[in-house]
Order: sequence, then structure tokens, then C-alpha cells
Amino acid sequence: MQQRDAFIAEIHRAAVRDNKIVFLSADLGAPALDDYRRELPAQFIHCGISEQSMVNVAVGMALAGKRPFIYAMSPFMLRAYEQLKGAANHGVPIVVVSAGPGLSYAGAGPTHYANEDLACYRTLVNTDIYTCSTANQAAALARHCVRTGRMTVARLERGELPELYAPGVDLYDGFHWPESIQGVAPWLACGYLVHRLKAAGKPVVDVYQQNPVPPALMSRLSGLDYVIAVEEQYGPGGFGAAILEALSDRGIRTRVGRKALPHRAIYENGTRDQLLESFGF
Amino acid sequence: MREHELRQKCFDMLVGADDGHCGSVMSVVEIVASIDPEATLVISPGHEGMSLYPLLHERGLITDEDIAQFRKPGGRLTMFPHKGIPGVPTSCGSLGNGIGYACGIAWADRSRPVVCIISEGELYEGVTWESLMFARHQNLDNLRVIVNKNDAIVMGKPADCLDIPWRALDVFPRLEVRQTVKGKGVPEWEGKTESHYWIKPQQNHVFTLAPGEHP
Repeated sequence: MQQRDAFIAEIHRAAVRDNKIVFLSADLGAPALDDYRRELPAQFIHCGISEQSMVNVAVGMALAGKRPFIYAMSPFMLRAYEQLKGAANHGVPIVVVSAGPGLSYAGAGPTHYANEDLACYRTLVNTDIYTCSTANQAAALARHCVRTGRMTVARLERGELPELYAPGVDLYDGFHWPESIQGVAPWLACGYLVHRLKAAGKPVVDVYQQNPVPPALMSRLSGLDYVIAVEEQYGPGGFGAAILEALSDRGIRTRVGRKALPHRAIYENGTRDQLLESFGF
Repeated sequence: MREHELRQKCFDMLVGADDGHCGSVMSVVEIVASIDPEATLVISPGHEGMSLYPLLHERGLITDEDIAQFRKPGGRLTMFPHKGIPGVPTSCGSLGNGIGYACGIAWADRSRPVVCIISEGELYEGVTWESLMFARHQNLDNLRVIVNKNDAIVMGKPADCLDIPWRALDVFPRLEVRQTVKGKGVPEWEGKTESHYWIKPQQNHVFTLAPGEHP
């Protein structure tokens, strides 16, 4: 199952019980969304190709007591960044379901990549950020969003990825540190890269919560000399920067090695793995 | 509150602050004064939004002190009203966004009357049209949209640049275009595009009942 379907199916279940939940899409579908639309037409809005208006409408709905989930492709959600800033300033519980971050749409060219969205979202006030690596994790995130009622960005990967977590898993501390990783420098990553690093035999910690950086993660890192932060984003302001800042703010002197995308327009053709390979991942 | 009274109070606040988007505020006053107090009013061009403050004061939501401290350090009334001020429904100021907020509020409760004032300048913002299409598609009968048309934008007249397709607005049944006068009532401001920004008036003014108004 794809992450988006797992996430939407969970929202669907919650929306049946809570008519305050409204799902808005900027012309992006999913099989699970077809089911949702069929059963709950009064709690779904097809906004057309209008990401900016969709965000503003969601703000108005939230101010009037609704619980809006807004759904668009990651690169195009970013065009509504100024409106998302407005949403964050209003302090409303909007959930931004951002499908296809990083190089998810590999081969489509730079207009379809979201290599800077994490850096942008990190600067918003009142906003939590998660990037999922599996469908069960996406379902857990959906349940978490319904429960907490905070403005949240849910960055969901495209395609079917291997499942790493049991059904019904919770989000716990915002990261998953396998017990097998002891006494070595861990590789911190999220989303698609978790799978790529695992396949390469790296000791990978899945840091699915990027904002705020999990405090418990800082505790685990404080005893280490060195960690490696890997991200399918541009370096400035991204995942590695978040780790560095969180460590620095706590006076933790653990060194951080960073690996990010080259900071330039990406014009090359290729699959996601081929592009990552060419960039030295 | 009658138009002349609201105009006077806005003038006094602007002069007291020695700053403000005077031309736009004096232009929108007559529209704001005409809105049913029971309606949720979203003033999308936030630079005109201070015209709401005297009404909030009248309803007891903000104090004499708040009005006196408008735009002053330590005061809580900002040039662009925001959600943190009692009685202000949304934070507006970035042009084009208020109409979407109003759509969302109106959609969430179709029994709630919502009025959104937008400016003609906002018709240059693409997101305005996105939200107008949303309102039409969702048949938001409880949302009334009023375009404040005073024939002025910062650098001149709208017709001098991209000509606004006014006839396209005919497809929105709950939208009306209201002709107003930029900076109405103050010689230094009236009809002047440069009064989008602050121009210190040479003398104080007392705004009296307009023809047709009755005490």
C-alpha cells in the first residue's frame, strides 16, 4: 500500500466519526481518496488547481471550527508557502498532506522536485513536520494528526516501499533507533532514504519527526562522537541543518557529517535511484 | 455607526498615529459603515482594516486606551488588524488572501452571514480569482463580496496597466462593485493615488452628515 492511501484511509475512518474533518484536494487523487469521496461527499472538496486558495479556504474553515486536511503534490504545495505562513500565524490546526517530496517525481525535471520544502516548512511557527518511510508509519501519523489538532506537515513518499513497522505502530518519540545500532556512528535519515541506506547495510535511524527535532534523539546522540545526517534535500536549512541546530542549541558537541543534494537545479534524467547514485548517495 | 462618525474616528486615529494608508481607509469607510453588524466581516485589503476598530470599540471589544495607542509602541492595535485583536476574524494584509478565508468561514457554516470586502487592487492577485471561483462552485449563498473600486492603485490608475476584466465579475452572483473615492473628505487625500501612503493633512477636519443622512 502507498503511504498516501494508508494516511487517507485513516483520515476516512476518523471523518466518519467526526464531521468536522474536511479533506481538500488541489486536483490530486488516490484510490483511498476515491473511497472517501464516495462515502463522505459532504466532507470532501475538489478545489481545482488552486493550492493558494485551498490553503486560505482551509484557514477560514479551521477558524470556524473545522479540521481541514489539504492535499497536493509536494512541489506545488510550496507555491502556497506565503499562504501557509498565514495559516501558521493564525495558529489553526490544518494538516498539510504533501505528496512526493524530494526527488519523488524523478525524471520530471526541477519544476516537479521539492528539494527545499523541508527548509521552508521548518521556519513556520506553530508547525510540526513529519516525513514517512512506510505506509504503517503514515497511518500512525494520520491518527496522530487527528488526535493532536496541531498544524502539521505530513510529507508522504510516492510508490510502494517496503514495510518496516507493524500495523498499529505509534509514533513514539519521533524516531526509530534499532537496538542493533550500538557503538557505531548512526546514519540519520527519513523517508525514502531510510530504505536506500538500509539496503546499503548502513546503521540507519529513521528520524520521521523533523520539527521539532525529537528531544529524546538529542539525548541518544549526546554520547556519540559522530553522526551522519543524510537528506534528499538541498543542504541549507534542511534535515542536517535541523540536527546541527538542535545539537548546538543544547550544547552537545557531537560532530555531524552531512550529505545532501547538490545545491543547483537538477536537470538530469533518470530514476530516483539513478539520480541519487549520480549524486554520490 | 454612521458613515460620517466612522470617517471622523478613522481620521482622528490616522492623525494621532501620524501614519497610515489614509486614502484607502477613507475610501472603504462608507462600505464598512453599511455592513450588518451581525455579519462576519473580513476586510481582505488589510491596509483598510483599521476602519474596523471604531466599530469594535463601539461593541466594547477594544478600549479607549487601545484606540489612543493605535500604532504606538505598547499599543495592541496594529495598522493591519490581526487575529490576536478581539473581534477581528482573520489576519489580513497580504493582498488576495482574505477572500479565501471568508470562503472557508462561509463554507463551514452556511447559516452564518459573511461579508468580504476586497479591493480592486486585489483583482491583480491570482489567488483572488481562485477563491472567487471556489465561492461560485460551492454556491456560497451566505457570502457577500464587495469590491471597493476607487480607481486607484499605488502607481496610478488600474486602466494604466492591466485592464481589470470587470465584466468577468458578472458571473459571481453575490458580488457587487461599489464605487468609492480614494481619501474621501480630506483635500490632501481625495482622489489622489499617492494617498495610498501617509500624507500629513494641513488642518483638522470635522466630518458632518452627508446629504441624505439623518441624525
